[in-house]
Amino acid sequence: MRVSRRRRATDHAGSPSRLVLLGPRGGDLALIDVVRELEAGGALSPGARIAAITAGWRDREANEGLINPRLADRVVDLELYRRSDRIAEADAELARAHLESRNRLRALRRAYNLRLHGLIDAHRQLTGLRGDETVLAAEREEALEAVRCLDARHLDRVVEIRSEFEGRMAPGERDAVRSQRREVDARLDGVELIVVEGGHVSNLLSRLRLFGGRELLGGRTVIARSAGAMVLTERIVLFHDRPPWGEGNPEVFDAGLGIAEGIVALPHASARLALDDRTRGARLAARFAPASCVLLDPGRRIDRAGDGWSGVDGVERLDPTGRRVPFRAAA
Amino acid sequence: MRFDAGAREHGYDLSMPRSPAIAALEKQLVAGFAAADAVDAFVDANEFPLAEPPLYTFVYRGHADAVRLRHWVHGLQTSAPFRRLDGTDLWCYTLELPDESRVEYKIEVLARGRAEWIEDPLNPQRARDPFGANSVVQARGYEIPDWARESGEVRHGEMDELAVESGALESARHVTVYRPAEFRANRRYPLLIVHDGGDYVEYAGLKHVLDRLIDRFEVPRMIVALLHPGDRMSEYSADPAHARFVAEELLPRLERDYPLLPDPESRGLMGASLGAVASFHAALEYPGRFGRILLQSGSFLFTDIGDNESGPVFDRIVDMMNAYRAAPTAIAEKAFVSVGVYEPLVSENRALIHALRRGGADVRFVESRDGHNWENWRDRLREGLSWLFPGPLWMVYE
Repeated sequence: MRVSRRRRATDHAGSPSRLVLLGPRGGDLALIDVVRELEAGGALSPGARIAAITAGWRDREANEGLINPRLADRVVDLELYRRSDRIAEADAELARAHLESRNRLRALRRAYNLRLHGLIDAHRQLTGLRGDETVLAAEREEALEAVRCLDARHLDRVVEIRSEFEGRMAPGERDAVRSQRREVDARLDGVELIVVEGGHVSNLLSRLRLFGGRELLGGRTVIARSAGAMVLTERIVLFHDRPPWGEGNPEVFDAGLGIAEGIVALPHASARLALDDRTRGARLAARFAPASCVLLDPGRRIDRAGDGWSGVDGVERLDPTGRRVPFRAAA
Repeated sequence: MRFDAGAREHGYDLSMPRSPAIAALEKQLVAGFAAADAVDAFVDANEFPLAEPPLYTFVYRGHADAVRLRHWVHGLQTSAPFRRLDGTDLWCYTLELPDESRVEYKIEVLARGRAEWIEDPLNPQRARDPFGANSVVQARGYEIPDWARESGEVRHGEMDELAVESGALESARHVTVYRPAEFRANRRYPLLIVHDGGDYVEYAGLKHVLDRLIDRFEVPRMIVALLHPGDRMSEYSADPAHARFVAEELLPRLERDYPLLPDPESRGLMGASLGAVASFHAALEYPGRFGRILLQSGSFLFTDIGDNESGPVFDRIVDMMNAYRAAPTAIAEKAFVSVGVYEPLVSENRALIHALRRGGADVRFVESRDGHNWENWRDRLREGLSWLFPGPLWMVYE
């Protein structure tokens, strides 16, 4: 039952020349340090203008207290969350269609999780089963392949539903959206660096899409933090190994913008993942291979310049046995 | 849990589980060590109750005619006699506790013809309640949840104080309203109405719990109305006037003053003991109004055979539960019910689960190794609130 995981069409238009993915706030790594390093290395002009996307913060969007005050005079917030509210107020038909699409996606997510639970439970039980390994190893692999197959099918369905909405409503051609996009374009004039902050991954992703997705980034250097990093990957994986209820099975949420290729971004990994549980870790790594499951803890960072990724200062990934190993070993 | 059983001698049970540490102390005493010195060293060297899982030994030191353990564990004698070690003023009582148990207790000291219930002088662990405080023994595996502790690192909600006029109750009622951190008047929030809200804040740390669970995205930002009862025994025992106050007076007032989500699944009722009864009753009287209900250790008394013998305050409750058990209805879409297995209401709550499910509710039921007390109710809040009102935990990565 080997399923070929389709590689999604990669449109390099809008791919940033330099991409830095950060873990959550905290640790020793501050945004200003990364900016200064990029300036020193020539990736940015000294004192270059910066645009911030803080739609993931929702109500707290554009809260200047959350941007480093030493950068504040160089930063303009694109206010995508507030703008999307305005679009919804001005274009009720679009807002209604978006809500319907969202409700369909919710129903799909519920069904996917029901099916996922059964498949992962089967794999979990097979992993614990002792017996003839010549039989069990193949059974485990098939059980895992069934999970991968479901993940791939779910992602296709999500993209279909979203594409149907985008095809039918053509948001980018509607007056309310075009008007806001023009204002965003004006704010982006002269900007060399875009910082995509974290927060609510679904809210952030939908606002980025509404404002053009990867085209919005326009080939500029990008620093993305936490949920910001997740939405730039090819496949967004939601995870929490210790939720108040349920098994905490990681789930595929949606396709990201596909700029950060070959990785699954896992912010807050130490807090959200049971990293001492090698069985879980191994299943996670195998499920999303060949992509690397990168543990983006506070203060951690990975960089991409050109085609390759590099891990900086101890960033780790999960290897196929569920162990934490240096990320650079995967490069 | 195993208490003493079997032959008794000198008023205490010789078959009580034997603590290895106490046995070692007794050996020293038999060997002729100075009793006072040996006991001093023993008390100084240990924390009490002495934990040798699964054995826990309660210790009292002092002159007395008798010493007893007083507890509220259902099904066991509420008074268990300590044994005095020969030649000393050290009294002890050993029992076996399952892992993760939590038991509140007092020590009863009888001396000079008087009996006094005291908190355990050798145990700093206390649980407070409206009647004072009890000592607490925590068995292996029990931990106070981190999310129940006050934290300076989380965003804090704020409290408003309201006076709500009530024609139903013929007086104004004081209601405290919790607004979450980063409250915005232009957003809409779920509502939870909490019976005995003041006690939940005081003894179950409800405000800290809300702050922490919201900060962790395990529950959404929500408005929480904390009720302070008048005549609690009357109002909370299936009183139609109280239900009318909640559904027809308080709810409209809160909807007027706060930006609330309008649908039943965004409205909840919660309470413990009689507060659970009041929550259940209000939901029953106003079907479709409250889609979420959190019931802790409810006094859901019923009689399949014979009459209620629990006292007249429970007559209305028994009538309500008998009628509900005969013909269950959907009082809420989702219900969370918890009870401690050491409290006398465990069978009534188990019976309720079946009735709620027959009525069509989606029910989660949790039993804990604890009793009828506020810290038990606190410890179940994460499970209950996050199931009834799931937050954006899976979506937020800041």
